[in-house]
Amino acid sequence: MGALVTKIAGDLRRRRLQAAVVFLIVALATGVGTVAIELLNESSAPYTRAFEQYQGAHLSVFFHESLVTPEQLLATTQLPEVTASAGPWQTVQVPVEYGAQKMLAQVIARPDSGGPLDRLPLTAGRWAARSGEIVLTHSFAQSIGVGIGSHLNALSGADRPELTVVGEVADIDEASAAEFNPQFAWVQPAEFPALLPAGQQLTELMLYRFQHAATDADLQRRSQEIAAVVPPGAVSASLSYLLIQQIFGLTTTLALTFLLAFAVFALGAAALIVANVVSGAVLTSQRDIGVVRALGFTPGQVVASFVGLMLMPALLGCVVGVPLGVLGSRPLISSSADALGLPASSGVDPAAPLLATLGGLLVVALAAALPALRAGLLRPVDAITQSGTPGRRRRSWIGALAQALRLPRPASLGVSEAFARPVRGLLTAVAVIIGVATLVFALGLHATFQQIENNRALTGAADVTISRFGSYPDSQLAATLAAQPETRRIIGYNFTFLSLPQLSSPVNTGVIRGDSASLGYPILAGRWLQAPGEVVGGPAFLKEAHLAIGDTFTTTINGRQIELHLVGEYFSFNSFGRAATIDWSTYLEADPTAQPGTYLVDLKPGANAAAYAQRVAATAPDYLSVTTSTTNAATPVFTILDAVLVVLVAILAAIAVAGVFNTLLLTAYERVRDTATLKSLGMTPGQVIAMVVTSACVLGVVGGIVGVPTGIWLHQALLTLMSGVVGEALPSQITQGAYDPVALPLLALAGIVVAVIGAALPAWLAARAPVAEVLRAE
Amino acid sequence: MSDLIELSQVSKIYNGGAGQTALANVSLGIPAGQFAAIMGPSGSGKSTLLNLIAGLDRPTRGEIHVDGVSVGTLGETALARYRRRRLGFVFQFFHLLNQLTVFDNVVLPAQLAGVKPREARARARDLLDRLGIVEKANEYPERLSGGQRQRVAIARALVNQPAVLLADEPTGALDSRSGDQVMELLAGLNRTGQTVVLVTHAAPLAAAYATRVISLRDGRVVDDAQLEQPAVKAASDLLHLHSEEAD
Repeated sequence: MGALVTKIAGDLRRRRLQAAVVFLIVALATGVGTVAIELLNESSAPYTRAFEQYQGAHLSVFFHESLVTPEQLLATTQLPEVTASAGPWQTVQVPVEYGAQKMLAQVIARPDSGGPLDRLPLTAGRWAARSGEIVLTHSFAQSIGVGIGSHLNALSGADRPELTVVGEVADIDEASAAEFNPQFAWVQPAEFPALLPAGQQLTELMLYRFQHAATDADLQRRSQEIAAVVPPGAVSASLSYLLIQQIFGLTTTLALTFLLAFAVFALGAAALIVANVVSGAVLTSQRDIGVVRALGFTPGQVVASFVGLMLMPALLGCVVGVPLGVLGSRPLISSSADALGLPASSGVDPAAPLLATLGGLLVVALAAALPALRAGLLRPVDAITQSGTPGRRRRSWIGALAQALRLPRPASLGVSEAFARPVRGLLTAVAVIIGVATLVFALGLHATFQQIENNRALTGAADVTISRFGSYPDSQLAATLAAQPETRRIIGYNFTFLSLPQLSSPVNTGVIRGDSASLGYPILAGRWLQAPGEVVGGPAFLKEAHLAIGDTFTTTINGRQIELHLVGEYFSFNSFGRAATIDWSTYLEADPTAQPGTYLVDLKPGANAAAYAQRVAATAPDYLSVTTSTTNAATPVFTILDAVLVVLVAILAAIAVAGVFNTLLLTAYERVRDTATLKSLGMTPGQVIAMVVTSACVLGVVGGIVGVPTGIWLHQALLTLMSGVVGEALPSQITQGAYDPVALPLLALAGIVVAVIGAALPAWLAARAPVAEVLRAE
Repeated sequence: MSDLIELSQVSKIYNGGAGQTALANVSLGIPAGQFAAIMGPSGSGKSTLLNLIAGLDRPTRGEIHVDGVSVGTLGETALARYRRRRLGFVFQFFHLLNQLTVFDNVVLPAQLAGVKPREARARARDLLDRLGIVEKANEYPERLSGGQRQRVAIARALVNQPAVLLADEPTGALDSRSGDQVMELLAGLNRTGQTVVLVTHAAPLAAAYATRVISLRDGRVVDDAQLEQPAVKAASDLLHLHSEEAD
């Protein structure tokens, strides 16, 4: 063992630069792998832990107070599957104001934060004890910038009652404010009557836990059992914990789809580079192999010396990369937990770092062992006698082509060198391909995110968005908007719920007044709304309801039976596609007095949106919240995913550069005599650099030409995976058109950029290498 | 300065002030058309002297002028251009590029010097013909004998019509018959006016072919003998001076 360690130590000293390359790429690859494994473990762990700790509700059900009796509500708690229940609590949507901000809150009249389920842990302050006090969720408070002691005004009554924020809680039964609104808020039951908006229908909230509630199918059955005990149409809405869990883990799960893929790429590229290093080392140290065999090393020990040569820097790479990966995963894991006010796991599960380390070392060991076997199989006498003989080098057809094309001689020599050792050249080209493909994929995904964010239907954006609160009449606002000369288009918007017996819970339904087709919802099948009585649905809704385009069905909206004709299937992020949309004219059948709550206004070209917004808000400052598209926040999930992509591209590009660097270093080392000869014949240092860089550029061109289509394919493949995460197929308007065909050839140049960066130092070293000493040494 | 090669108080010390002195205060001049042999035991500095003339190494002190060029003051790029235009170098171990054919090896320096392709090819073909290996033009070096490879190396060294041909132990890796053939070639080139500077430790070769023998010991010139007719010079004198280097 001592002899083996001595040999490995000596080889490491001699190959410091290559060992440093292996250290770097293993650190990067295991770092990415660790982040992926950590996310795999933790994507929904905080939610699952908290759900059990706080006894979250499997189902939250809202009943129309006017359609259900207390006895009927009690009966729902006595169903065989129900293991615990809470409520009923009165609840209503209340518009509230904080400073210039206005928003809706789902206010619940609840005496305390404890109970058999849905315990609400305080993250700050205390529970409301008297009238005039309100408790908010932590994420809601953060999103509007309130703290303990802040004062909100309820806009539901003429006297605009003031509410003091006395506490913040984490509510496991709803998602964060960025993804779910209106958020819940709690007051003492005595406060409730003062907050009631005029004419607003009250609902009763009940919470349930069941024996069997692990799947959507289970919850569908539980919902149907509850609906069977109350009058038809009494259930106005319901919320499943599985939906909340899905929203909670959405960002990390989306990131995981491509993190896992790129962890595999990074480790694969690392393996290619290690194989290259070892095969080169075997080639250049044949004499040493012969000598140590002659001294008594067994073939196994020879193989072990090369594997050990790679494992030492790889182990160091794991020591650095794995902890960095653990640290790097924390923000992703914490962001979701923090949004709910839940603690992210403070400890580190040793399984992830251990798995990443063992995986990284195993990959390196295997990659080194295969070429090292060649060294082990060499006979000592062959190794010694062949050591001074130049290794067989393939005469390159592309070199001959380059010469025939009358390229400058240094360039043609460099071209012929690129694949002179075909396996080495191929392995290096693959590393470059991976780097280019990652860049192309990341750019495509970024463009896809941009397409989503620019699709107003998907993000609900408009030039100006107006929310109307309280008793301010729609007719007055409509007149105000029509009177503005810049107004081009007004879309009125509201939400309701659509019930069917076969549904586990009512479906979130958008109601649109105006030219809804102009919103541009992606149509997956059929067509958009054109006449009253028509409905379009998201894929998850149609699947659950067993509906097909052309079907006519009777549904309950606001307690009224309405006949709807299904004309199209559309894509929406709303409730992961478990959504529908109807025209305002259809909704008026169920609620003739309905008024939109939100208005999407598009302006004429050249209009000043900020000035328009200011002017409209000034007409009713107490009742209108007016924002422009520039003040609307970017979608948080895309911001996080974009940041992850940037890091991944940088890592894979660094690995590709390291691959090229290592190959050229090896080649320069092997060709030191030829390079010295060329310099003795009059090749200038600049020409030597040009020769080496040209050789790298050939690899870069191959990497670019193959990497670009590979990246495009990856983009499509991962979008398909992401569709699975989101729960519905992404429409072609989103998946296509991510790449500009004119710009694609420029992306191929990325391979050359990577190659040139990797070639810079080896080229400089080759240009500076001594001539006299090299040519004298034999 | 009338000599083609002029060295003035040239010293080369490796590893700084306390290091090894390879050459110490060497001053000599080699006129155009001379066949000068530099002889000496191992470590005498003869290869160092050749490398300094070729610009492959830099003197610690002193000046070197070759064909009017102050070699010691040139930058790396200028040295490379100097080598390709004014020098031809023949190595003991040939140093041909194995991935190029014989013809491509010979034409390479001309391509580096920017000679027009047609002229470069013509020069290469002519040289291979003159050196008796034109039939090997499309072969690769590994298929040639030692003597043939050295002829290719000589052709390569001459393709840019250098002022000086430097040869470092050109017969060191060859059998005696091939070695004699190579030396005959070099002598023949000299008779056409080519200046040749040869490093060798083989006294008989030096005596047989060179017109001047410069002897080095411990980095210093200890003898500088002009040979009017190389074959006439008492070989015993040279043998006596270099007896420890006899084969």
